[in-house]
Amino acid sequence: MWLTSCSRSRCLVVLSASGTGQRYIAAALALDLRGIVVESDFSDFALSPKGRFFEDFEEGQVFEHHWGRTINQGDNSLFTTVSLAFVPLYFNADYAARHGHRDVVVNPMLVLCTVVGLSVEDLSEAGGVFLGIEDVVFHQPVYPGDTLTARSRVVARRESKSKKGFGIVSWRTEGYNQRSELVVGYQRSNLVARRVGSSVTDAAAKNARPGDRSER
Amino acid sequence: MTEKLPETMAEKPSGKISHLTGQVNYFEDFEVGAKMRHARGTTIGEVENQLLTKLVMNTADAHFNEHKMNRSPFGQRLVFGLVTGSMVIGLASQDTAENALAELRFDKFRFRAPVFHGDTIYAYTEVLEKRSAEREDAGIVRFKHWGVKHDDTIVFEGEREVLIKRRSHWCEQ
Repeated sequence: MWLTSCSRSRCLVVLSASGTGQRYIAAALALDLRGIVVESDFSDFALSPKGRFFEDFEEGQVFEHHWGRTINQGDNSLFTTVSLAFVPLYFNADYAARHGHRDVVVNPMLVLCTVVGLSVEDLSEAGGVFLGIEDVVFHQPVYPGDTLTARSRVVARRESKSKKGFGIVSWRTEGYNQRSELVVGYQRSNLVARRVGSSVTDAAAKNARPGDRSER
Repeated sequence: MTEKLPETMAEKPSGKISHLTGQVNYFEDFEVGAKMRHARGTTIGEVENQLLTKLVMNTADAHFNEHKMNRSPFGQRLVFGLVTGSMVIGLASQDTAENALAELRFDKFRFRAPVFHGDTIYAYTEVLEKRSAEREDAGIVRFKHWGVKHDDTIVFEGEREVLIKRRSHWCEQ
């Protein structure tokens, strides 16, 4: 047992170690200055998993995606300028007003990206590259202050012939404003990792995290 | 500022708006088959990938967890495909949508190769189609855009329809 680090109020102590080369299988506990255990080994902490695998999708399944997102003027200006979208309707309110708009228009690419973003945890977070987006239609302008929500339906699901451990899933996604009016619709397809056997899930299985200190 | 302003700058703003945008990218100016190499490129870094990915609520940490991605087959963070698409269409936007009334549709977006931090992207555009719109003061132009990396890899392609003002109706004399 030895001290590995010490701050004003806490000491990290390795209680036992069996060495194999540079690797130590160790249990690390943080003790406060009275010697009371205040934190346990992070490997005891169960992973709170995110995302869905290929096996979790079936045709026709519908997802009402989480959170929603109010787009404000800062979001629109930042996105538009960082992406070099030099269209004055998106960043000059006076110019936009002279074209009949009540405010700057939210850059439609920001609308698309936000609706895709809201759908990622349900559809594509578990891993697998983005293949394509088809048939994106912007039905009406979005203005700062509008709130976007997203909904998707699985339209196709098939095995990938070329990518071991992956399938291909296609979804129809729609983005709505706070009045439940359709603002954007599109179809997108991704490679989606299988629960086991894909390069993504294999990499995740050996991915080192705090709690797996021997790998750090 | 103490110096007297030049006569022209001391005048009140004219109230005109057509001087705010380019004079060579009205609907009349686009010809089907025309090919454009857009002047500016952009290197993709933390601001483009990490900031925009998070700004749009994309929760996939493949785009912002370097430690995890070091152990993936890619070896590093991937740039979110729609960040690449946004940069390509952004790079093309002054030449293709500065005089837009609206961007109507995107189609056939393909993410053909991975993009990594430090890569530089250039944009190329071909005019695919022009047609009249329901309103007489504007017409619709269909573009095809490509995003190409510094090493000539095509990383993105996609089509886009833009409703563009007609000079005849919008350009004040």
